[in-house]
Amino acid sequence: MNPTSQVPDHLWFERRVMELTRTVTDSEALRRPEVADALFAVWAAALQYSWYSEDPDAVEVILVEVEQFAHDPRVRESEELAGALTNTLWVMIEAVGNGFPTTSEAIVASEPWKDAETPQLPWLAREDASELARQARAEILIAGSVISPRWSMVAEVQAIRGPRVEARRRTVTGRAMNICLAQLGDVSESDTAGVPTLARMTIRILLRVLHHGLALPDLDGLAPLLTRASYLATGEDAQDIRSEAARAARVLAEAQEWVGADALLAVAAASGLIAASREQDEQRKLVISFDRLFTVAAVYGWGELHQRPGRLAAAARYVAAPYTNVDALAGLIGQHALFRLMLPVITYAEWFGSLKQAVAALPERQVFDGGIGYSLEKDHPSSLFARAEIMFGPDDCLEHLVAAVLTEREALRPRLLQVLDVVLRTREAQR
Amino acid sequence: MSPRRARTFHLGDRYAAFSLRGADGLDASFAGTDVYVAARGVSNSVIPGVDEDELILTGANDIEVEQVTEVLLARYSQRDLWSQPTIAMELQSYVTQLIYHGEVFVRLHLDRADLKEPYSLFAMDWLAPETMLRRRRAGKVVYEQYVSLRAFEGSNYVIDGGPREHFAEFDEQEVLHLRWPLPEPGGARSPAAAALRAGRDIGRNAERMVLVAQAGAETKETFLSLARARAGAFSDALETEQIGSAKVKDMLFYPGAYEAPVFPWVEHATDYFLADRALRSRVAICQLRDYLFAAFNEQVLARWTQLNGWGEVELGLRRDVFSESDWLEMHEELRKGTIDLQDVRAAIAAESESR
Repeated sequence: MNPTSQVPDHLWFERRVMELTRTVTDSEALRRPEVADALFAVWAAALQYSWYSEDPDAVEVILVEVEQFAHDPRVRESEELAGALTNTLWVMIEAVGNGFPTTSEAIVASEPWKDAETPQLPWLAREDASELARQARAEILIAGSVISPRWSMVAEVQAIRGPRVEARRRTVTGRAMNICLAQLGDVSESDTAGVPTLARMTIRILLRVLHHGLALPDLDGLAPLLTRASYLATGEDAQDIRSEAARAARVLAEAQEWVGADALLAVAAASGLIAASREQDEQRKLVISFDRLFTVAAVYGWGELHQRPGRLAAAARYVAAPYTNVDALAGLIGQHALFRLMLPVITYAEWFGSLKQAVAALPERQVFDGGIGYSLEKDHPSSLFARAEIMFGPDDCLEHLVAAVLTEREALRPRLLQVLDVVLRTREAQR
Repeated sequence: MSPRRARTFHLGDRYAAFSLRGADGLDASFAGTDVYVAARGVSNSVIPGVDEDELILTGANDIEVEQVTEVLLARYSQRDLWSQPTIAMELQSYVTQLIYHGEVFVRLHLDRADLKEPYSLFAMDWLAPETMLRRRRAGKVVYEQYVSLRAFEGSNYVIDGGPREHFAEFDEQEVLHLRWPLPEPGGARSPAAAALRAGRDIGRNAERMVLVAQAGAETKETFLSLARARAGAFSDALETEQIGSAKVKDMLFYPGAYEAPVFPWVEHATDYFLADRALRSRVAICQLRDYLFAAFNEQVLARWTQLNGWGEVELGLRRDVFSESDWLEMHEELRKGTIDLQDVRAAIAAESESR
């Protein structure tokens, strides 16, 4: 209680602790890894306790402190500090993803209409309980007794609580992502030590958001920032960013989060191109190129499965110059020569595992094959899956994509010739 | 005084109501508007529509049905039977008056021009319920009407001349007597009377809200009521008033009336409660409708047809509406969770749009 105010300040303790930690955040001692770890560990623990205690005001107090690091150059200069900051954000997303611990059933079971005080409930649950109490008391005053059965009260609390929780989750997720984007946006060539960690953890946080079924934050501007981080990173760091981005693109495509999938695919493709240009070993260069191609094929495969509009256009740009010589690729596929390239086929098969399962689960239909009977094929509009069998995998998707790109190119060629013809005639007329 | 020629006092006679201490006070009550709106909504739900076409007469003999139809439902019957423009609106006003007063008395004039002609209905006169007394005399039910008429001079209570006494007695067969048929609201002669009682709480809380506002405006005033208001004694006055208003509407069976979705009746309630109250009201509306037609058929049409030695003729709604059992079944579905508020509202809307 603030002695000069009549209003109880339930955040008094949190505010005092934050004041104390601020003496550390403002000092040079933060550059020492053990100090940074200790400070962020305090914040991470406090954030989790606040969230699980359903105290959004306390979460806000701590998050504001963490947000001070959104533009702090020390984070980009130190791998440890970047790790501590992004780990805290990751932990926060994990807590937010788990939701609040109090169920609607527990709130109804507390029978808040009988007693205005519900000390057994956490902070925010008490607010929801008081809303339910208001409704139940209205029933008692109007009808003389509680009319609504318990199951309907649970649904009612859920209807009140669900959107509130969702709004808070969206806010926290968006703010965590904004801290990452702010740091990546301020990256310069002189302070790159923390950049790979920032990029890698940004992608992991995004995947964690997806894992918990939360709404993805606004990803506008993410792709160029991650691509730049990939460009500034070297060695294993660059490879990590590339493979994390490719994995994220495939996972987001599986979840039909097409905006995110396209952004991360762009990062994976561009960082693959950068990595290939830096690579001296020809076989490694080939593997990097096919890593990109099979990632593109995976995103395209999910697009085919879900009949995403514009799926070919989204994938085709990476199966053409400067990424790929599509004619050479088509030649390799035509000669069934991919297996000779010593590619990590088992890894690629793992990438397509969930798509393979989804295709296997498609219903089948009988098709008159013109012979003496009927054959079975998958009941799906795409020819990619019609004859999908047990060996369906990466090659099928890549072949289908390349064939679709070539068909599209053939279809567009006459139109291109017409345009050129018009241009030539116009120029001749002008002479 | 011949009862047959006696003057009857109808319900709109405010003087009779006042002189017999029957003033309902609804005009001055916070529940008054709710009673007016609810009575309108419920009566329009009991008898949906205002035209004669909404009703139909049925019976075994087509000629007899035709003769009754010409009197009750024909637009140009040359009989000035109703105080309202049509029989449908007349039945609606019966419901309205049942809500207001709990009882309706209407004097029937069943007569014939000569002995060769069949009996017919020539007039229906409203009798002010506050002037009526139902008595049992020599094993028979009779209805007495007593009015003491006083004419006032100017705006003061100065009686102009002596009071004129009116007394009339009617046979049971002469009177259509309707009573509020539902057990709710208990302990009151009519829903409006119960609402009036609950309206006092609304008024009290409205006054408390004024006190709260005044306590804020006059910060130095130390009068106890204002001091209490300033200390937060009446902080829940608005919510209590809102709930009081909702209680009044609920006891008037308003939530199920077809107008209810236009004027939300309660601020904070679960969807289940809203659906429950709407279904409760629809059940009550069906019970009211069943009672109204049964009473009219028994006390008007049966007497008329018996005088002529005719078969049974019955008045009813022409259109198909949900019955009491339909709504009860819906309530059971609601209880099981297989339907929800949206379904209940859709059913009510479907019924009102089926006109």
